[in-house]
Amino acid sequence: MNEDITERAAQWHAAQDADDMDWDGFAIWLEADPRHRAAFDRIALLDDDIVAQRATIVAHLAAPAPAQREPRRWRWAVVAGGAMAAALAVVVALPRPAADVAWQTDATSRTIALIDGSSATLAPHSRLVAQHGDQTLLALNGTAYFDVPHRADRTLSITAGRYRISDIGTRFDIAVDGATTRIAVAEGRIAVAEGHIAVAAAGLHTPVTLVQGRALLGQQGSVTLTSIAAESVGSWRGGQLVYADAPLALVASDITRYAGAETTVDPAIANLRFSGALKIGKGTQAADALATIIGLEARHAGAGVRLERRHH
Amino acid sequence: MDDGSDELAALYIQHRAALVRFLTARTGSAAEAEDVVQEMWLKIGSVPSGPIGNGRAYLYRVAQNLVLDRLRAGRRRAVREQDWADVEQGQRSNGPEPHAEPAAETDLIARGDAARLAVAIDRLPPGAARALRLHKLDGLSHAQTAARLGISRKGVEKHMAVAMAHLRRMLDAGELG
Repeated sequence: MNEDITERAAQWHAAQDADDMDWDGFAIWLEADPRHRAAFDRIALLDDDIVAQRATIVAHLAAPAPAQREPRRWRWAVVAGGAMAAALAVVVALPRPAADVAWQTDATSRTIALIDGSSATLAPHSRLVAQHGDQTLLALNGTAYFDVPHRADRTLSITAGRYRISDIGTRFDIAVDGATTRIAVAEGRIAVAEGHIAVAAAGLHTPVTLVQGRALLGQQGSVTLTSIAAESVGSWRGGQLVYADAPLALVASDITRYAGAETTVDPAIANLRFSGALKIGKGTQAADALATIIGLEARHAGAGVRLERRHH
Repeated sequence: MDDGSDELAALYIQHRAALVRFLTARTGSAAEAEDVVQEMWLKIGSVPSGPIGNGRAYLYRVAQNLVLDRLRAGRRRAVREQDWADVEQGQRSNGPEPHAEPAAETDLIARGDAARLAVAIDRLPPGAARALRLHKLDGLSHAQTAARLGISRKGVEKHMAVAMAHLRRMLDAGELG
């Protein structure tokens, strides 16, 4: 892709959130050359990727990467010894944000005490990051149950998938898995917004307040609000998974996470809905129970299970 | 109705022809442009909105978002078809079965992307990296990002344009592993 075109596309893209965006000028630029449209598409999709995966990206940024950073530091040391020492001093003098702090679970869940008496119970294979070490600026990938008392003197926010949760005074559960995000409130209330105005019009128009017994399901940018039994929120902590009208693919990914047995669903039935409770148990128990309840075939392959329609 | 829908509907009618022209250029197809403006009309009618500062800019942003939804859907389709093609040509000897779950496939791709994006973000010029971090990753608005960095909104736009163009080039160069 021509470099100037990429740069211009990025400039138009960065300008579009402002009310003084020159939409007519943008249309004329697009009309001038079909490559302009292709370049803009690729910037827009990249932007969308970053927003959709930002919790994961933040987690990667926080993780130490000695193999990549070592050579660079060495190169800087060489520069420092040379004529560019003054320039380096300027670089070093820039304010450096504090390092991120991350908590990560493997096959076992774990409860983390946060500031002000707040706590988060991290599900297996999940990661919570305090951005710049700031425990009021959290990012989640995976699942966690939060208990955060409301306090007027601090604002705490949690980034989860493409959403941002704030105005918290409550107990609630967040699950981020690929492009799907679920948020459910057990007690109190929270505000949920899309983190970025450019995507807001497509899904969450304005921030939504979720109260006790309400849940939000965001999939590929579209949003569904549902009711949920408040006492079932976060029930995975007690070894149970509870669903109301949940797509099968989602249930399967939960079983994979909690029971540690790779559970997949035939795409033809991935959108079948399931309501009910499953005991997580060990291995493929939950997948087998699910298959029995809704009349599917659970085909075992290695340590995993694939759910399919029954063949007659 | 005092939720702004009436006002938006009027603006939509006023700007419809310009929106179609814009969308034709944006999508490269007059037919798709018509589809999108009709979708916009349904959206405006069905979604109550809060007060809207600049209605025209808002309409264009809605149009942009609908086009992005279509791009996303098109890309998912392309990924699925590529997987099919790979399987049928036997290029994936130990890959999933032919009817591999599409959502899982795209998620797998997305996970690899996040690692590469993190590496790329780490290599941005410092100003662009800080603006991107605050605006895209921490989810602050342009105005909040500007306040945090002590620069103007236009300054944030410039940093963001530099960041996105850099990232796009780094990813295209394929040097991030």
